[in-house]
Amino acid sequence: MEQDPVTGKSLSGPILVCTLLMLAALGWALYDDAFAQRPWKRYQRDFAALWQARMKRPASFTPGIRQIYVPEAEIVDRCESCHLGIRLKALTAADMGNRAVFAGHPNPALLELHDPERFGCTLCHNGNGAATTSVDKAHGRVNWQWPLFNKDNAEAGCVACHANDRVLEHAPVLNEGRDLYQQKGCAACHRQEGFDRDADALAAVTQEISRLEALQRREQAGMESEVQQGDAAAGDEEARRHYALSETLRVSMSSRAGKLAELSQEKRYLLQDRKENGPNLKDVRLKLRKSWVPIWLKDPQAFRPGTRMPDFRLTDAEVRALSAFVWQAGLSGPAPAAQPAGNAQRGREIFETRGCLGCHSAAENSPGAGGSFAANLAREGEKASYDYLVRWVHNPRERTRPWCAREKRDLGPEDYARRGLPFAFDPQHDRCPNDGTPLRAQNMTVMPSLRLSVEESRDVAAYLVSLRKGEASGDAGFMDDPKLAEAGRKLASRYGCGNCHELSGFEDSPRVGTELTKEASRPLEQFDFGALESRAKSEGWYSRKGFFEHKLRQPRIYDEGRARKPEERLRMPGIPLTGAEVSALTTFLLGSVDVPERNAFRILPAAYRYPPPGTPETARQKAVQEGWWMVKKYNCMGCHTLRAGVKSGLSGLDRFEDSDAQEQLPPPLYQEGARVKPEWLAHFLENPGTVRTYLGARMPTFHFSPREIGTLVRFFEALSGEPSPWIPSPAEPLTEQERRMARAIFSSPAAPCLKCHLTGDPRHDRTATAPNFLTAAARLKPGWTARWMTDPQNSAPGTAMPSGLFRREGSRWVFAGEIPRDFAGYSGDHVDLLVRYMFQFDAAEQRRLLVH
Amino acid sequence: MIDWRQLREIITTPDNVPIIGLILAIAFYVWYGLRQARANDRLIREVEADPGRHRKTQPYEEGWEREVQVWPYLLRIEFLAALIVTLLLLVWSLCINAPLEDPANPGQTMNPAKAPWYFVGLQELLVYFDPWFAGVALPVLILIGLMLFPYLDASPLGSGYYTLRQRRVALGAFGAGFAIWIGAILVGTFIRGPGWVWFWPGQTWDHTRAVYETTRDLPDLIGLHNGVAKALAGFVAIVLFYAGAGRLIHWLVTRSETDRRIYRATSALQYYTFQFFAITILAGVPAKIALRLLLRVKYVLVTPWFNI
Repeated sequence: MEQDPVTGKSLSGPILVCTLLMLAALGWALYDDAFAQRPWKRYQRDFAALWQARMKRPASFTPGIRQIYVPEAEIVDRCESCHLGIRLKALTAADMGNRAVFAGHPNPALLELHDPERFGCTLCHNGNGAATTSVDKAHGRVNWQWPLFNKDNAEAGCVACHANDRVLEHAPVLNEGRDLYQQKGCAACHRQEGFDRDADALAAVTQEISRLEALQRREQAGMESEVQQGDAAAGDEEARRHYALSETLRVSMSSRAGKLAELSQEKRYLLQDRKENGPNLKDVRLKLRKSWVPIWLKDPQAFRPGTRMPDFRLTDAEVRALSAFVWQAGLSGPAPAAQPAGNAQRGREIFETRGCLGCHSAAENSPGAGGSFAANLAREGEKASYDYLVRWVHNPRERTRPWCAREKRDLGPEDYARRGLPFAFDPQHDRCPNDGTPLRAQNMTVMPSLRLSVEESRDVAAYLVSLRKGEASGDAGFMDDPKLAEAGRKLASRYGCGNCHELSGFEDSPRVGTELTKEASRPLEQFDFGALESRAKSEGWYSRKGFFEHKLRQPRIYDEGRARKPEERLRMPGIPLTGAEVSALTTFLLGSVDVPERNAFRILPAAYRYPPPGTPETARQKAVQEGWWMVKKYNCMGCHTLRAGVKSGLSGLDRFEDSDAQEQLPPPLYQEGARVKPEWLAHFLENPGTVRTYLGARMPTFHFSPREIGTLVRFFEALSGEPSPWIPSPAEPLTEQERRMARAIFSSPAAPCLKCHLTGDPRHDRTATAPNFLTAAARLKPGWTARWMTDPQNSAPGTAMPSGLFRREGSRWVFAGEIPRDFAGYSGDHVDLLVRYMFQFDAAEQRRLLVH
Repeated sequence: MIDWRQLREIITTPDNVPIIGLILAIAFYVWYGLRQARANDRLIREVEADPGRHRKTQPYEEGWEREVQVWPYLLRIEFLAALIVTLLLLVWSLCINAPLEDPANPGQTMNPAKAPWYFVGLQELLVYFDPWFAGVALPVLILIGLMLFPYLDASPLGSGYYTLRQRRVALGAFGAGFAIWIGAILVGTFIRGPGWVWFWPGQTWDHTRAVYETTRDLPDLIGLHNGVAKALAGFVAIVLFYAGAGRLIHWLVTRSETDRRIYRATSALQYYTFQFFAITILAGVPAKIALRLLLRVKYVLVTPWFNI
């Protein structure tokens, strides 16, 4: 090229170089667009190579993006482009050269329940299913509101659809998280939909009642004014119009009155059902040693390791103020009656055999010694008063004073005396003497009554009082200082004591914590990491998971490095949690998301939620869901096994390790709905009688409201897949011949039924243990009874009922022992015959058999 | 302590890459322009010292041609420049992905929410002025001012080549405005953190840092709190400022002999129009910024209808 006449330089070199570079860049752009290495291509090559090496044959797939597309839920998931073996059941990471990416789904049963063609991957696991350009992008680690759940928290993905399932198959971590959320009392301060069902329902009912009452008052006034206008009307026509109007109002008021009565009943039940997490602090003066209160408040975990009471990290001044307030806010009477001493030795035996151990333990730091659902009583003697304990053991629900929700105060004998009523109240006598509204007549504890006699209660109380390691001592004089109490009231309000405890002045206190129902839906930027944000970013825990985990381990961590006034500091108390527990709770919280049916980012059609609406199974599944909340509320699993394979609390204790002791365990209930009639179950739950006399443990009286009984009965029926409602088919009457035949088997040497089954004769019952036949007709379902007789081990593994009593012959069951002569020519089913006999068994028949 | 992670994050954000490039480009072109201008100024001095020589007939350096053709000599340089710029853009777009973020969420505003880099300066001005002024009046004044430049220029010299000597006032005025603009962009980009709070480079962006800074109005400083008095005081302050700044600018534009010559050739209309824009934008905006940053002054003039 010609040289520049001015500078004498030629530009051909630079232009050539730039042109070539330009071409190279264009080539690069084209290559990048069309042929660049997407990670999935490399994964597919690796998979094919590993597959060939392992299986000695080529992998049968064509390379390319593999995608699940579900228009209904707007799922576009290309995860399988890399996770090629995810649907292959037995494929482990070890099979594929330790490349976890190629392993099959760790829980194939889940894939069977949730067909990937319908659910995709991201619906459960989160992540950006459509992204293929990098692993981070596909996993939603960048620029994505819903990053893939970490492996520890994978079960968080269940919650969106299974929000109402208190207990979920295949999700042990999530179940533990929910258990902890309830047990540790999180729900008391942090609302979480579903966890405070009774309080929520109570609030709704109360609101509805006041709304209807207001309407009622308005229409009453309207009606009266119409009547007046009618009376004053000039002509007949006009008067009639006014009277007709007043009549219409009267009719509408009358139907509303019915509704109000119904709601008021519902409210009574709910008042009875609603429980608190912590003990009733109105009773502190009657129950506790004064000097023990500050010791406890200073460090609850030191006094009772593992207690549900969290550590509020109070300063000494705060402890003094709070103790003073709690003490002065307590009721001073009427005090429980003074009791003569009991026998601690006998009390111990009762404590250990009657079932107390299902929830309580009397030994510190030995998990095999008792349950952990309720308080560990190892140092009970240091804190509680004997007289109060006797009353408590005898009936924990017995209140010192009933609480009137309308007047917002505890009623005393003087309120009752004013109306000439005795100071007596219980769930049946729960109307306020002043205004007739439902009272809270019971302590808000889930602790049931074991129906101990007063003597037995004294013995147990004497035993509990004897449990002590030292003596609570210290000056407690300051607790009567009203000034301190005033400071304490502020603290109680700040820390939300009333959220867990009944405490005067805090009966309806609002929750102090933030609602967590949709916590994980909040954008990460809205989580207040405080001054730790940059540390979190550099240490790699700037995520919701990191936030929850650090907060749970150290609830006030985000105050670090911040100058804040004391009253502005974080107030969440310390809750001792193990690493696994933190992870379980985090899993649950990560799953707590708001998934509307449709918004700009996420879609979850109603049909995906569990239970899916409008299927024949919906009602059954709902009944099971509802039931689990109750089972967990009252800790039924402390004594009973409810799911095959999940042991009850008692069966895990040291004292029930050997097989003899195991016979003493309360019955497993996983076939309860199939076994017993619903109406019998309802009666039993309301007022448990003795079915198995040989058991030391007794089914306690829980004082369930009819509402809760209904829930439990429906739960057991639904759990066993029984039709609802269950309608018994009438039993076919026995002919005289059939009766003789049945009688013959009943008393045959091969099946001496009455040898083991109770008869009501004290001499016989000393050796017999099985349930009395007289109760069978009212208690059992015939279908289950037949199944039971042919294969008892199936229903209750380890039962003493002998197996192999019958054998199969064609389509019928035939007695396996020597068949009595009367059966000659009988072609019916022997089991069926016996069941019919049993269900028509009466006292006369029993006497007759026993005579023989 | 310097938070290097924070610093790195700000500098390497794809959004901020053009601004890093802008800093380098400005430095390069200022240096390059000044170098050319100085060479030309030397030539101009030589020509002035020897009135017989006409500057256009002289070679720039010894041995150079007096005139060259546009084609191919100029156009091929421009072609080369175009090639280099295109190449840069291509490589840039291949190496750095577009700074896309999460799907927009109307329920969540990003913090800090920053305008694209060419508007960050305007956004920064919102700290110092009310929106009607920073967002409407000021940009309009700037645009009109820029459009008026050629009509306010009474000097026939200095067009078509780099020179400092013959264009001291024009370059100074433009440079001052440009510096305000670029400075605002740099502050908005590198200094402003969450909540548009001032964070020095290397200081950690703390979302919870609240600034307990009470601002006040200029008349408050001299103890005037009454509405009318404040308005009057503000008005007086502005008049005084216009007088003082006008005096200063007059001194600045008449410093050298060349400048004085240009000033004498300028009509009154041209001069006062220039003074209005220069005082309002080139003196007023920095003065207000200084008042706000150093003395926490929010408004100078407070009236029931508008505040400045």
